Amino acid sequence: MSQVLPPSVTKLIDAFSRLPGVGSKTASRLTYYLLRAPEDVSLALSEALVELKTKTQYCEICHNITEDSPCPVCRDVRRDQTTIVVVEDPLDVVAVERTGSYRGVYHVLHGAISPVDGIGPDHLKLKELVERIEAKPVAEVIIATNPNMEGEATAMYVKQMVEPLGVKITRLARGLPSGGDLEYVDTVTLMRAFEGRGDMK
Amino acid sequence: MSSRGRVAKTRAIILRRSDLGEADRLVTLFTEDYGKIRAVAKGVRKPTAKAAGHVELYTLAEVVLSKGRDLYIITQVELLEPFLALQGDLHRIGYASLFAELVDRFAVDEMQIPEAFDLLVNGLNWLSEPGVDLRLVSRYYEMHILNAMGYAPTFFTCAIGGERLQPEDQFYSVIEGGVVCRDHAAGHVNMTALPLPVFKVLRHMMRSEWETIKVLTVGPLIHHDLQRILHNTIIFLLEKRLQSVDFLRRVTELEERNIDPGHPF
Ligand SMILES: [Zn+2]
Ligand SMILES: [Zn+2]
Repeated sequence: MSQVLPPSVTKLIDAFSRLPGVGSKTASRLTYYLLRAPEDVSLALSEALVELKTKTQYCEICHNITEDSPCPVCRDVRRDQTTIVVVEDPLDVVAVERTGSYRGVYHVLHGAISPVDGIGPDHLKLKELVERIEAKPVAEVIIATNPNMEGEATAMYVKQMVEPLGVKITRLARGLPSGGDLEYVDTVTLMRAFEGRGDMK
Repeated sequence: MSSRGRVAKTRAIILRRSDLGEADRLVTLFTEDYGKIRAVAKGVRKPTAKAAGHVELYTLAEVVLSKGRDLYIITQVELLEPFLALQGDLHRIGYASLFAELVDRFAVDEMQIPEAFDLLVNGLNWLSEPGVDLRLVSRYYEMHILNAMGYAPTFFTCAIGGERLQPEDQFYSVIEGGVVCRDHAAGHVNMTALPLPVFKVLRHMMRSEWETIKVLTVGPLIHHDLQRILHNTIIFLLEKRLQSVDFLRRVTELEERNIDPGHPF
């Protein structure tokens, strides 16, 4: 960045550049937008940024991000507290909630096993899942990790850890994306879809 | 491939991936023609992306690459071999991960190493065979990847004296880079005893094709020594622990705990 820019401008550009997927060009564009925008835009942003860290914590039960622990989902008596969907990240909870059809609770692992990156079972909230099931009876654990190598490895690991506790374990089917043409579906997805085929209802 | 914008097609194994931005992935590839490279696969995290299932770890694909400003860009992917047998088994995933980790750590960027590429493809195939001794595949792969990368330990001549080694009990030294005879081992520290049965398997593995080795029945004690010798050699050369080996150990521990439920978590 050139010397002619005031430090307060370059500081924000640098801060934006550290975000995933934001290059120096995008960082500069965001900064200049905020410079020109009305003051309340940047004030709202700065307030949101401060609250993000000061007001949030991990739910003591499901480890999702929440302002109050236990989180609203874990406190909700209308939800089935004996069915747990296991996901990799908080955003996966958002995705499942968007379906509007799931009435159970969650467990957020905060990642997936990736031996080559040094992310092993100890880096995930796996022990916490076992302790949770041991503490309170659970009818079903639905594994909803990502349909890729790391997600598969994580799913198998969860299964091996939970199996001795005598809980029913299911895994989300790896199906075909809707709206697509069969001829364009890749081989792995198609083979998985065959493996996971079900009776027609 | 040096100049920007040029397009090339090559076979590749996906070694590592990480998310990049909203929908892209940063991929480390071991290619047949250009060695180890890093490339961007655009849009592949969306399940509807045509290439999504093709940029999966430890699969063999034919990729079309173009050279961007800093990185290569994957413009086309055709899956050649998904190695599906690896995916349903934590041990096999761990070993595939170890194979990739070794290439990733030893290979220099953009240096073509055809023997290492063939070995990685073969290794993933061998791992997929039902009923195969996974530890034996791994030891064979480790030994030959060291060889392909130019770090083969000496198994036929003494690493200190250079004279031909006799079929008898010997010593092994990671620092000297191979087997050391009794006379030359005397007075040296960091020498590991190398009993004749282990020495024989090492020599046999070094000069034989996998088809000959895979029918061997190797007992647990010899397996233990083989692993110790090869892993100590690799750790010495890389100056780093092998993450995949730590993972494999955890998988084995978990299984043993499940067989013996009295064991506490
Ligand atoms: Zn919660
Ligand atoms: Zn000697």
